[in-house]
Amino acid sequence: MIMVMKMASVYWLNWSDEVGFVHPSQLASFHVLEGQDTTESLVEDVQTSIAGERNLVITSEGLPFESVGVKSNLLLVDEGNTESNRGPSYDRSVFWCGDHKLAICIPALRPLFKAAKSAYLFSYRQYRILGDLSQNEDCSPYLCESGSSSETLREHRSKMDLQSVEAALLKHSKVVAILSCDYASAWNSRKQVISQKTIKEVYGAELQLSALVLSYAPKSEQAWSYRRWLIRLIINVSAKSKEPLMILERESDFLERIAEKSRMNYRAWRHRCWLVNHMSTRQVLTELLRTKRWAQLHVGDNCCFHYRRCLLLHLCRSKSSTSTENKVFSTEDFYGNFQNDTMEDWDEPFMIWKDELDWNKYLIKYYIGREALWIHRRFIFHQLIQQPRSRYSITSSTLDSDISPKKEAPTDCYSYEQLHAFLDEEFELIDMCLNVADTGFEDTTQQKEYAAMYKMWMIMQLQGINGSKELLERVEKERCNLKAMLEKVCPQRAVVWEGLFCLNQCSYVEPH
Amino acid sequence: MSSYTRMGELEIEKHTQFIMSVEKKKDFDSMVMEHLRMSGAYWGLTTLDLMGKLDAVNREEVVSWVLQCQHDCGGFSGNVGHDPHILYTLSAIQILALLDKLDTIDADKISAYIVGLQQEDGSFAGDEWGEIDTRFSYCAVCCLSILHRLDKIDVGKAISYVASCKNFDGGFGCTPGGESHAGQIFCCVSAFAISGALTHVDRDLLGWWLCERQVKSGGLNGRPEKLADVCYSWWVLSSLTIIERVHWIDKEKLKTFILDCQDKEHGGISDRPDDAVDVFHTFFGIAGLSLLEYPGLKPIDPAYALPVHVVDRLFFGQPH
Repeated sequence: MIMVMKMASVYWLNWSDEVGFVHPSQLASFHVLEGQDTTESLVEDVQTSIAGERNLVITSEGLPFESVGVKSNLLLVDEGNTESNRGPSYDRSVFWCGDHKLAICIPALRPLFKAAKSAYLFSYRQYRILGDLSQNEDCSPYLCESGSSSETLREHRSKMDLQSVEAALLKHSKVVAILSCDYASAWNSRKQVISQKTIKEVYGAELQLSALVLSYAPKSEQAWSYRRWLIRLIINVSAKSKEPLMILERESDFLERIAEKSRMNYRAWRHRCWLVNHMSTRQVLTELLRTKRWAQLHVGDNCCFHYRRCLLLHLCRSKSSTSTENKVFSTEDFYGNFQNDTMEDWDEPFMIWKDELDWNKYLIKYYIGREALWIHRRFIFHQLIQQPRSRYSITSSTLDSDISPKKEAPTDCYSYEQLHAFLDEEFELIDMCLNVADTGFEDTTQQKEYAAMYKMWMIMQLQGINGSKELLERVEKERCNLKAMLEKVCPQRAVVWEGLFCLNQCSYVEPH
Repeated sequence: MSSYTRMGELEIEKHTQFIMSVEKKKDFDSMVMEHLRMSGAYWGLTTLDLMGKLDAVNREEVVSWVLQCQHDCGGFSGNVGHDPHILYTLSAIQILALLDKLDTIDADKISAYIVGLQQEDGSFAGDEWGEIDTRFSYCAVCCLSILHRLDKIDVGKAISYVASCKNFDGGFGCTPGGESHAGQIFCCVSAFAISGALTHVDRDLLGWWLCERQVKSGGLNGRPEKLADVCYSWWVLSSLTIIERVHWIDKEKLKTFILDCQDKEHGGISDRPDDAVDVFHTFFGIAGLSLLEYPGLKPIDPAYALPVHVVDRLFFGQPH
């Protein structure tokens, strides 16, 4: 396993290392492809290995493996041989290593894990003893385990040497973490050691370990949690430098690769949303552009659209904040990177949402029957009518009713006619989708159902807020037509919409 | 093929044998699950009790092992020699409640551990390393409630933190702004239910999101665009039960889906039909069927995820 660590420490920014657990025949084929062995000899090797169920052990200088009862050492790492073309030698019936990939033969996993766990627990015990000793700082005689010696605390400690114990702990906990990715205690031991370090190469190597594990276990909760712990540490330690921003950029690349490999991975996207809190405005805009392209290739990926919602919300909040830092970003800055996007009204949160809505409409028309697109539309609609600064906000639009108190029309708002025009557009889209020609495929049925649900959503949202008498009358009219539409498109949901509309009463309330 | 001939029976005997056999497995896959054995034990034991088969287990042995997993800080780990965590602390307490052995532990000590994990904003960390998640809020509230020590934490803050994780769709995520997920929703809704704070839930809105989890096959998924999975039969169904909207899904179709996920030959239930079985999905499948009132299964409490007779014993039974 020592070679794994060598690979990991050389390029701390290289996160393309991968681990995989493979069937023996697959392992054999890797070696054959490399031309290192003939098929016959290697297959024989592999078969002997499985048949014999040899105990494998991880060697490390100075650790007493005899005491843990392990019989034979079959993993040889010849570090002196790194100059040769073939690199370090290792047991080829168990491993294949090349091109930043490490393959481990599945039958070897169990004995490997047993040995690794023993080594890890031993090294952790040593580490804890040292830690306890250093806390009980005194010169009183310390009795070692046999009870016969009476050397002092300091003498004993010098024998153990904190550095070598730490190195052993890091080595063995790494192996355990690779073989059993959610073995939390192994990751926790690393936190104990790493939290005492301040060298950035160390953090880089740790991020690389997490990436290595995620290469074969992209849902590993511990690997993601460790990653966040590390990034928090890096941010705390290097707050003023450019380090955190660089890390975020690399994370973005890394997360996009994971998103491709592991569809709608909740933990990966959760991590990506978490990073938004630490992003600069420019990074948020970069992410928006990046994910726009990505989303168009993955229109069924609800996680990506949710991530966009996080980014857009963050942008709105930072634009509405009074901090000068957030306002300092010029049209030129923006144009420098995003040639195809128009900029005129970008400084309005309202336009951010309107832009997103228009793009969503294009996708809905082109990609029929995709739930994620309609969910995204529900959110944008909700934002547009809820936001107090939104031009479509009911609460800030002029009210024409003589019941309402006279108000001076805010200069940045449309009149209520334009609100109705917006609703017209939405209902038009819905009608278009409800009338999509039946192809006999699932997606057209789904498109109709999602359109119907969206209309239901709109009515529900509009019912819940203050509005002019005319608006409310319009909403009530649409609600009455809803039932007929729903009965036709999704009768199986009858219980639901009957329940929803029973409990929601539509009423006109005095605006405050 | 009529639905009558298609619908299978629940193979209680086979599932019992499967659960008992999990213990003995020594393969690599079992080895890499050893850190979460406490939760595995809770899933297995609760399933056995729901099927009326808890007597197959040696209670003293289980209790003795659970107690070995307690650390000086008061928290429990997933197995002997592993680090403590709030997830396994809850599983340990649930097991002891199930076996009626809560008198073997020091409730104040465990409460102190959990109290120590509450943050300034009311959220809970999972352990000393600080990861925040609404799952841990649920663990804290559920565990302390079972120990009759819910008043030891700042309940108001705990609830307001969970409420801050509510999304536009009525659902909840792991942290504020996190994507709505059926598992997280279960945790948040149950935390509200246990604390008497269900007013924070918009029942119609959430009920709608939850009922949209039912797909054509009758199974439930956990989020939009995902495949149905038996474990969501629990998380979605228990949430719907708590907010009184179970009638918004097709219960018969769901029942059929769960039964189709059984391995009728070797026992156990898998995430979807014809996949490999495991204890996790076996528990959630059986628990889901219990909520659907499948004959022959004991009723289960949707918030505590323990058989109703256990919860009754805790709150209405012998005082301690």
